[in-house]
Amino acid sequence: MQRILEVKDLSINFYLREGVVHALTDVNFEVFENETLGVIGESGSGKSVTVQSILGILSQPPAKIVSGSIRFEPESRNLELNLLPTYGDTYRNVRWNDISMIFQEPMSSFSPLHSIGDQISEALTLHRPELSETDVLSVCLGLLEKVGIPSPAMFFKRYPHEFSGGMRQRAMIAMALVCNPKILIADEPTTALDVTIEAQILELLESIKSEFNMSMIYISHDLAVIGEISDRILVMYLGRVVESGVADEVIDNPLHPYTRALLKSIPKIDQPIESLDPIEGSIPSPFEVHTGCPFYSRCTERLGEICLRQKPAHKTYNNGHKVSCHLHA
Amino acid sequence: MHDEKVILQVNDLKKYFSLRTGFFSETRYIRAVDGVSFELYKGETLGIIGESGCGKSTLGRSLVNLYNITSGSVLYNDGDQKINLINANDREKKNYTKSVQIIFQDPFSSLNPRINVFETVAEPLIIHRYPKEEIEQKVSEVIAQVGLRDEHLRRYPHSFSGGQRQRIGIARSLIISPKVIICDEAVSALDVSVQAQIINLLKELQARYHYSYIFISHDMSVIRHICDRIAVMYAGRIVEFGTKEEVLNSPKHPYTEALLDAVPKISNRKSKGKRKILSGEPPDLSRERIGCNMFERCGYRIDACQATPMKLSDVGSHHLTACMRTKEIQLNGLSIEAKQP
Repeated sequence: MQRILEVKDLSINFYLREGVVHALTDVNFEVFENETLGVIGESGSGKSVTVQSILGILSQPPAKIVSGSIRFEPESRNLELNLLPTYGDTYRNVRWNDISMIFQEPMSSFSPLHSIGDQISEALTLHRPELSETDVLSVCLGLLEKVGIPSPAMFFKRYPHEFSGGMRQRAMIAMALVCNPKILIADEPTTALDVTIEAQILELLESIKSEFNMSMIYISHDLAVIGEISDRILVMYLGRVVESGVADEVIDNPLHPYTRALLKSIPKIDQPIESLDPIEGSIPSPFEVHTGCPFYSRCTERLGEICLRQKPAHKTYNNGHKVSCHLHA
Repeated sequence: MHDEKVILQVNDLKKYFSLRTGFFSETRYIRAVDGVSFELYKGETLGIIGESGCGKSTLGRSLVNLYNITSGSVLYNDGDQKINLINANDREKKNYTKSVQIIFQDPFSSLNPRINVFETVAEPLIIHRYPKEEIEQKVSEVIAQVGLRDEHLRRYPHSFSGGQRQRIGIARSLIISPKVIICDEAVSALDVSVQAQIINLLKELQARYHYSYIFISHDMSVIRHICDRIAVMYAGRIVEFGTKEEVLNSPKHPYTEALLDAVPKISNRKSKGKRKILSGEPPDLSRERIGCNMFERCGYRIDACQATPMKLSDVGSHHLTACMRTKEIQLNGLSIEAKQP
């Protein structure tokens, strides 16, 4: 499989009046063609910052890419996204044409002042100026039908407030697909939806992913959703990738104490009821600086001094399962 | 788990919200809760599950008198006092709210940012006119029960994390020693690693003080974990009701089946196309309907479903369902417990 995106040693800081937030520290991962990479993490783990930096939509300042690189199609085009100016034609072409994104809140990510149709077709008219108006319309209507919207022609002229959350999320997916991107980033696309609607959207994403030959980066805090949809999983905690690997490996044989604790702490519908083992304490303040492992204060398997003082190295096992913990030195 | 004493009896509770569309047009009603009946036993945890808009939060808020009930009755009886919420006078209402408390979903907006933890937690006692010495003692007791320390008392909500704020919210509900606590999505806004702490805390408190919980949630995994009995709500009505084992392992209503099927499962990895996905969306609550409220979305419907009024009927061992076809159709549940020793 070919790599389509490579993120290497990426560190991003936010310089705020209250201090410096180390939002990402040495983040490494890659996305292969036609795969779904699931990114799991709690609030403050840096999962949204990661994808925003890929799309070049971080507000800089206060954010600043301190080090590292983000390369799109490293084998062929080798586009270094982190070096491109975030405003300008090159990056604008990457967004939508190569990488597009679905956001969490289907209500607030559409403009209430324009019809759904105008908003979906806008991207296409801007990125494919050669298309005539009728072509644009037919592409958009076709997509709306594909994402399961009944009577697309009527839908096209309506406004976002006239639709339910599920319908809006479908429209958002259609909008992300207009330019046939190679990577679709989905940032908690089902968190705001009900379970029955969530199941519909997950299935839709799965089917369009294979139909459009895309790769997908799926972000969520819900381990069950990530487990269902991903080929590979990236576990993030406080701006670091603590574990990554094939989905089955990460879930059946978790290596990092955080992943293990997370799996033990969530109520599962498909396993016998046992008492929950919560992770003690809470997520440290983002302003805190960690010289050692960021999970140290909550870890039940910590070794002592070394975990507090020394940054754990990344260890890669033969099956590609990576972990960053002193237990696996 | 619980003794057979009913502490809260709800009969045909309705809460309609009026919807004025124009000055001369007829007033329409949103039937948020449309005839809900159940009883809550002492010391049990009753789970109410449903999707957004099904009326579960409206029900919870009606039960603590935050909404005026449109019709129906709520009877509270803890052995010492009996209160009927509908025709209660002011004093009775005050006693009622002392016994039935609520924990809200959002730990960020449900605490007043301008008053410190002590004042927040002590407020119910001040309202109920407790003497000053007792207030201080009680606050420090209850704050320890929820796992916070005395030094936290002088701080303001902004300096706490989500989990700690939820603990403050719980302390505020516990301080006047209620008998019934309504948890309205009490863990939904919390990070997954913190959720378990709060669930365990609620369970511990129940074991110690025999609270009765009404646990409202949209999360089937959480409900399954914490509840003894489950009521499944859909579009303002209870469509299925029974013990946790009954409802989850052998559901008797198509909606429950679909809901169980839709819950993401870790063990479900890459099992595509196996699900029975419920198509469509919940109905418009302002439209009056005779038959089943799930008619449009149901895979088992026949024409008679649309014409026959919805009614909960017992299919054995206090398992109630609103589906008229329940005897003719075979529904799949979780069947996890059976596999395990």
